[in-house]
Amino acid sequence: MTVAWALRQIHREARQRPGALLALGGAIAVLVLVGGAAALGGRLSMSIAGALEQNVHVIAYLGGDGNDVERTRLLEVLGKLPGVAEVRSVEPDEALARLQAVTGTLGQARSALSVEAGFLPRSIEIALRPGPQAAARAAELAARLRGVAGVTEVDAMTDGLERLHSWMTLGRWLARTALALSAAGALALVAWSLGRDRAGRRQRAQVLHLLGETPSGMRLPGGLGAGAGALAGAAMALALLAAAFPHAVAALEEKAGLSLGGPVFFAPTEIALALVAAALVGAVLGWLASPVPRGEHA
Amino acid sequence: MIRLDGVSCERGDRTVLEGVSLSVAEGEVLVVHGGRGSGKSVLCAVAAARDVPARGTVWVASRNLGDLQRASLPFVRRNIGYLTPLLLDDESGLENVMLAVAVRGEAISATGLEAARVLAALGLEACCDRPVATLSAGERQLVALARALAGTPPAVVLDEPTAGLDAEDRARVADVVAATAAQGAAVLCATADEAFAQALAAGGAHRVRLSSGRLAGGSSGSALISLAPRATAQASSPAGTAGQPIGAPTGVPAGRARGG
Repeated sequence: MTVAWALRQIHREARQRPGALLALGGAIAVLVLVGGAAALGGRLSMSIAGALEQNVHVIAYLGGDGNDVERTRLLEVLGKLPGVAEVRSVEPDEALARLQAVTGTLGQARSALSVEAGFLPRSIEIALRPGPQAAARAAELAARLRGVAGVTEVDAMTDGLERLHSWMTLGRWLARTALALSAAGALALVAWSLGRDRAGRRQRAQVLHLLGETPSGMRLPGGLGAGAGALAGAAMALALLAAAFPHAVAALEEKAGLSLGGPVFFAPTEIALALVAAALVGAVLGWLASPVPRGEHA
Repeated sequence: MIRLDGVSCERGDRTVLEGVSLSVAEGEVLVVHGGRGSGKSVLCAVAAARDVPARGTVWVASRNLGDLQRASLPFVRRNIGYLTPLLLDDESGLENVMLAVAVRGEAISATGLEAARVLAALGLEACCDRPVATLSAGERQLVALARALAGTPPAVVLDEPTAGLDAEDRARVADVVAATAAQGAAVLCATADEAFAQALAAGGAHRVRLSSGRLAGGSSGSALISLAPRATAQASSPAGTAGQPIGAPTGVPAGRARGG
């Protein structure tokens, strides 16, 4: 059987029984949609984590009785610790100016503007190098600083990051569960669409066998049809994801007040690979599901 | 060319063909006439490479089927037009016939034209496009016959081509079979229909009788029917001596013929 004849048969089949081909394409589309959304969600969470890791720092508030020599020595020691990017001393005036700037932009707590100079304590701000371990390092550093003489209070600015990590863990589990469920559903749908009219297709295989068709020729239309259906489904799902992704990123940036640095959609090679993989999966399933008379396997 | 040498077949403990030898050259029709249970269908299945004999050799187009790999058999089968009643019920008559031509790798446009031509020759123009499931038994038989003859394969094997047909259709089938042979096909036709066998013989076909799995009259149950070109058809007429080669210039040596 020529490829042209196989394509003609697929066309006829699609016209006579469009439900089966649509179900197959739809199942693959759902699978790609869920899998793609999970992969893109993973990328987004990495971007968010990256944005938050840029700003991990620890603030050590100093008591009023500390002298400049001790403070300078502490600054030097902290500056040499591994993972510390920058250490700087923040004077009460600067702290007040920052507070006023923040309250001004937020348009709230006007009373903070009237705080008198010198009310806020002197502090040391330690910026940590960005990285996945930044939050843990900040917590460790904060614990050590709490035992240093002259330090009255320590804040480790890692809450958001830790929360994000816990959300990411939950998100990963949810994504895996959704992927597994959709894969099971998709496979069931694929099995149904490929397994329908089994008796009719067996009869067709028997006739083709009598006419001198090879097992490969008998399976060619089934493989090509399922491959084309899967390819169409995957393409549709990727198009939907491509259309929705920029909107999702913009909404997230707006809600979280973060600049994610424009996380990119799948690269052309990744898209091509996904399409080829979907077509291959469909073709192999269609090929295997095409009945061949006993003893005539390809 | 179709040639069987000492072919025997068994079904369980029953021998359904025993030492059958025959030969049909290009452009010729051989009618195997026999009653129910005589072994005609098994003979046809073996000659069409759809069944494998227990003993003996089968040659189609100068190829010994016993020497072929299993994977090569489909390529032999597709060049033997074989009448089998199994049709695709959901497809039209035209589609069923086109399929046989398409399996041989013909272009789609060519398959459509050829299928329409054969169906028209058998008087089926009106029901070409109807699903086979809606056709009468006789029409289904004609569609199956058209499928076997479409594309003029080099060898044609017809098992009961007139089953369920009326007299008018039988006469038409006889004409189409003769025309197929005239185009160069070797046609082996097994039938229980005496009138049809006579009609074919009247048109120049050779005729042998099969009974209880043996070609009738063979001294050892083996008869080599070597069919001559039309010019020597007389020598291979049913009146010829059974059990001996009929028609000298067939390429089958007489000594071999006698040897079974």
